[in-house]
Amino acid sequence: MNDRPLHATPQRVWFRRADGTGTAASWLTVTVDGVPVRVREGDSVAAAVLLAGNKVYRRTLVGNRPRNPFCWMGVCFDCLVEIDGVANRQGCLVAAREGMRICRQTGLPELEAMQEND
Amino acid sequence: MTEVIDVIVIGAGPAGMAAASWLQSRGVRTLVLEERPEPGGNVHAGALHGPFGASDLLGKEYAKGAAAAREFARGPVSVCHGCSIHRVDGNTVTFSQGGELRRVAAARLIVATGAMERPMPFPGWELPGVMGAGAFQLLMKQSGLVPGVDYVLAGTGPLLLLVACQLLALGSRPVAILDTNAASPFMAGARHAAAMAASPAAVWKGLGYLARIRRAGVRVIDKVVALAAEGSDSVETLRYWRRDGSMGALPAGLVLCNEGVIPNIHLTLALQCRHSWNEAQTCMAPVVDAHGETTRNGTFVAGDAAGILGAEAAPLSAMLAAAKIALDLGRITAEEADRETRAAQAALARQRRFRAFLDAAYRPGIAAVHPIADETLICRCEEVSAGALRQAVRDGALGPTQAKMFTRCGMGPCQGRICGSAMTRILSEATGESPGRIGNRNVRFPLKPLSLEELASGPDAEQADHEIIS
Repeated sequence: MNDRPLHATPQRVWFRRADGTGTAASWLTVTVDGVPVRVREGDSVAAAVLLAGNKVYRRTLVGNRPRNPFCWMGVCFDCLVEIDGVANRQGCLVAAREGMRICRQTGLPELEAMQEND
Repeated sequence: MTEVIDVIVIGAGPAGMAAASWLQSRGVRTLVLEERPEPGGNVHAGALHGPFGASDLLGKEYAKGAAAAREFARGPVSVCHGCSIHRVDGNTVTFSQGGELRRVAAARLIVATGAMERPMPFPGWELPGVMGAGAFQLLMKQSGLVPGVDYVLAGTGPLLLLVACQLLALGSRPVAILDTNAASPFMAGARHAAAMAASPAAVWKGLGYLARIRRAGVRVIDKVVALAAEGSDSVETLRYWRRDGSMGALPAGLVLCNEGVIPNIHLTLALQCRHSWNEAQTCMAPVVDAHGETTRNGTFVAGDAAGILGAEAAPLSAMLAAAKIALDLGRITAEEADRETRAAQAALARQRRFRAFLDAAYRPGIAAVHPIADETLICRCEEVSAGALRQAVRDGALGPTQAKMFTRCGMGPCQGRICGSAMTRILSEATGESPGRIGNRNVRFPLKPLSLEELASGPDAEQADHEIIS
């Protein structure tokens, strides 16, 4: 894990795999803010970000408020995320692919570190 | 060159799949456009790659629907997955796929965009950790995830009960279920006894949910009239108030809320189809004829996008639309259309009667009945509160368009998809006009934000701006 981000953020568990759901799956690896995360084939990008254990999925541009995906069906746009260099994609509608580079849209890393260490 | 086919179907849920399969089997050239990587819609999401696609853990209906979606995926119908509709001009649909714009024209259009969860705004619903129970259910179906923290279910209706039962089946247990129903299922049952007698399987299913929850000993707190989620960077506590004036607070790292579903009308609004207020379902829906044709000639709506009837009814209304289109295009005779749709008509009528019971049995208390506190965010994108919208009305805003200009409500990336129904309610209450008179937000193309790069990649990008919409 050479590419761990400079700003280590607090972790948080949102969801866990239900018993037995991982056994027959094929797995792949994506990175979320440079940190490798193992996900199941069929997981969405938004699921990968939550499984990475980030405390905050994204921050709003209007009020700099924390948000998580809300609707999971492409309606609310609260799951906006950068995928392979393209910003503002709806993470709930995109399937995770091997090697995908996912970056949260949380504003400046320095600012985020300050906010999350409050 | 724009490719020209017979029918474009938008959405690969139960309605879209059924319409496309039926048309394709009769030689009608059909293309399905779907945002997700898999068919199945919301109700049968995760059919191909989800962990429960081939098991009964989430219930027999999901297993059956998932199997149908897998069969559809193997079948002959052309589907563009991972694409989103950019605009529709006349009979030409421009959509974005893989970062590029494509364009296809068709003689007929079937909108099968299904339902979305009814937004139920309450203070703090924008906090991370608060999400739709249906949204969570998608995560469960696609990824096999269950909550990793204490959680509460809040809302009313069959979907919330189903999610509770599915969670119990996976060995997960909510702290409590907060019931916000503003109606009485038992009184509704008495009034709709005949409809219930005609659909015994559906009745048993519902009673089965209730029995399962009772057997598991899950705490159910009923007559809840107000909610507030509290926490610093994410929800930590869910506060609730009951009709008798009592209140309480529950520890919750996740709040899964649902007060039923409403038609996903964003596309039909953009197409300027006429919509009307459905009082029984407390929502707007496109006006359609017996075949699902809208007031825009050649544009049909099938499934829940035309009014909520559920996943079992969706293929039936899809069949009626498909048969009418095949008849219009001269592929079948009137007698054939009649013969092929007779059974669907009867089954659909039965579904409608049972739905009337469900509509009467479950009334969305938070979304439609009890007062919305001024501090509640209505527009999550632009962070506009209910109080700001009420102030806009006092400042002279008469309808959604003016309220939007005064407050920016509905001007964020979701373009009013989430705040639209709550905005109609608040403006209706503040002006004294009926929701039908208040109407909907104006929706303009593009339907989703797209990059300049995508725009520039489009087929005759310049011409698109000058085309006259028929």
